[in-house]
Amino acid sequence: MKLIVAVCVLLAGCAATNGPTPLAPGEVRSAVTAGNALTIGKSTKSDVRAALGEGTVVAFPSGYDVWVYREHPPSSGELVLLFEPSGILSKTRVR
Amino acid sequence: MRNPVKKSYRKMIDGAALFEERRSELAPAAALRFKLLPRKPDTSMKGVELKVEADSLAIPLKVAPDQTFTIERNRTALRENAEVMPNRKAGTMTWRADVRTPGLPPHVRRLGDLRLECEVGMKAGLISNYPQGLLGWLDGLIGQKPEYCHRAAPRYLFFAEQPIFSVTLVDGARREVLPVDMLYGGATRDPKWKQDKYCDCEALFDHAYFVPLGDTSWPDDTRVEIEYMGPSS
Repeated sequence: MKLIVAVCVLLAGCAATNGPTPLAPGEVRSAVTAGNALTIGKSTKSDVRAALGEGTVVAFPSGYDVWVYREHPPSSGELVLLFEPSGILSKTRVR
Repeated sequence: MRNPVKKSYRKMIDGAALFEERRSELAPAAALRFKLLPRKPDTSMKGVELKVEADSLAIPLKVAPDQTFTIERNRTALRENAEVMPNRKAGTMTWRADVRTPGLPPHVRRLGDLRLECEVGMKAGLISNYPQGLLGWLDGLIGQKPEYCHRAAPRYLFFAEQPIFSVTLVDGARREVLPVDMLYGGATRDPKWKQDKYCDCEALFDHAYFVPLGDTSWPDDTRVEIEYMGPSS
């Protein structure tokens, strides 16, 4: 009986904390939704960082940056952002 | 010049022969050229001179303004194991085959052309300095044969004319955007990519892309549409 009670308590504890897994840097729940939160020609790197957190950044010598956000739970979904050397978002791509 | 960035003439002739052998299947209307590309950011591509050199001969090759050239069969050069030698030091430039079907816009490649580029490039030994263990995505490319190109996703790098943002395969109504991991030499999966000095894409990371060459669900006539970072020029 004690064992059954203990299992029930453990299960209840799990149920109480069974929310969505926290996102790691570079992860989003939905690439489409994340992309819709941004504005080409207007959003800055700071805006994107505030909205989506840190992405996976590839900074090129030309001054352009590519930032990547992948969907979590893992899927083939990804959001790719291109920043001009000025730091303004110039293109987005959802896959 | 000491320590020039040279290639085997015999292997390049073998690559050209493979092109003739495989052209009817993969790229019937295409022509073959070879291309020189900068490997270091400070490499100047102006005034590149090229020659086939052996003990008893030195044949200059005409390099076009786009850094492409053709190569002719020469018995003496083959017998003497000649080398194709630019006036640049080793490690400053890299080489590729350039297979082009005429009539396509500059930002569009044909998948069959790229398949043949890979096969010719592997046969001609154009890929260099991808050391084992230092760049996991590109491991094992050295010493591979043209059959390597038949893998679903070979790590044979192509270079666009300008920095790229996106590459899309298009076959009729079927479209597929390639994952970002197939761009920039896999840099989005390799946080140490900036420290890599061995990939021959060092100067052209932002131009580089892989293609699923061996995925036969994409026919040779598939268009490989490239969207550049900036406006097309």
